[in-house]
Amino acid sequence: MGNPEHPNVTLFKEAEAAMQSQGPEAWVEYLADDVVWHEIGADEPIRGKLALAERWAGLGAAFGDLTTDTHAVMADDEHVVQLVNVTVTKPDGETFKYRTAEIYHVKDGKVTERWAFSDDTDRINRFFTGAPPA
Amino acid sequence: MSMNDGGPSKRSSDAAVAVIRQLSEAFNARDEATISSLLADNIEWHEIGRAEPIRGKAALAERFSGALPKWQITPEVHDIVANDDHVVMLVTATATMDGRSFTYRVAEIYHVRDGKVTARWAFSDDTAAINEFFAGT
Repeated sequence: MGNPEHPNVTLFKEAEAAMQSQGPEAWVEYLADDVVWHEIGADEPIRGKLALAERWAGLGAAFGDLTTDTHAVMADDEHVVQLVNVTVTKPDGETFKYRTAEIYHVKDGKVTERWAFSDDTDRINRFFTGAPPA
Repeated sequence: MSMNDGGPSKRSSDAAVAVIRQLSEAFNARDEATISSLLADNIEWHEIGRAEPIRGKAALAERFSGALPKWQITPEVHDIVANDDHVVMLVTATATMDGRSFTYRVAEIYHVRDGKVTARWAFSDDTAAINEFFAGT
């Protein structure tokens, strides 16, 4: 018998559906104005919804098409953990796949902070910085 | 109400969370018998920095018996979330080895079936730093 779904799991499923139907910008509606967004390879987080929306708007031009496939979402009152398979297809057709555990703080139905963990962040950093393999 | 507080809407994933809590405590106590009792015979254990997982309980026991004496890891469990298929334990770990100390954050992802861990992955925000610290172990 299925378990009752935590409201934050429901929230993330809604956000995912909105993103699939309306594009990545739909995600912005689920962010707190003062969201703190930690990215793999960045010493400092991106602070604020507007700065993050700008960051996302530039990603497509810089890296091509980025698609996400959510494997699982779990939540309690403190955290949402989303297990995601990511595929990046560069303009030249090269593809790059990696897995992340996205960890969120959510308050009043809005994401207030996010971290991304993976099993090989060095490989992710090399791809997004264009550095050759170590 | 927290997802894991065992309240009236007790979830089937609570049993899997209990297994992971028990496993974490057994690692801290270096209680090899309890660790073994919580692992499936055909477990797949993925470690940061290893291209291939360790396959099988016997191989994993060898890994632990060889590696554990070299380091001391003190984990602080920050939170555990779960659904019917996965348990994710958020941990801040401090490792000490050869007089060196290193603190890192990790999300340990587990599959649990019939009270046994069948697979485990470890994700972090800086795996290069982890690989550097544990190099050679």
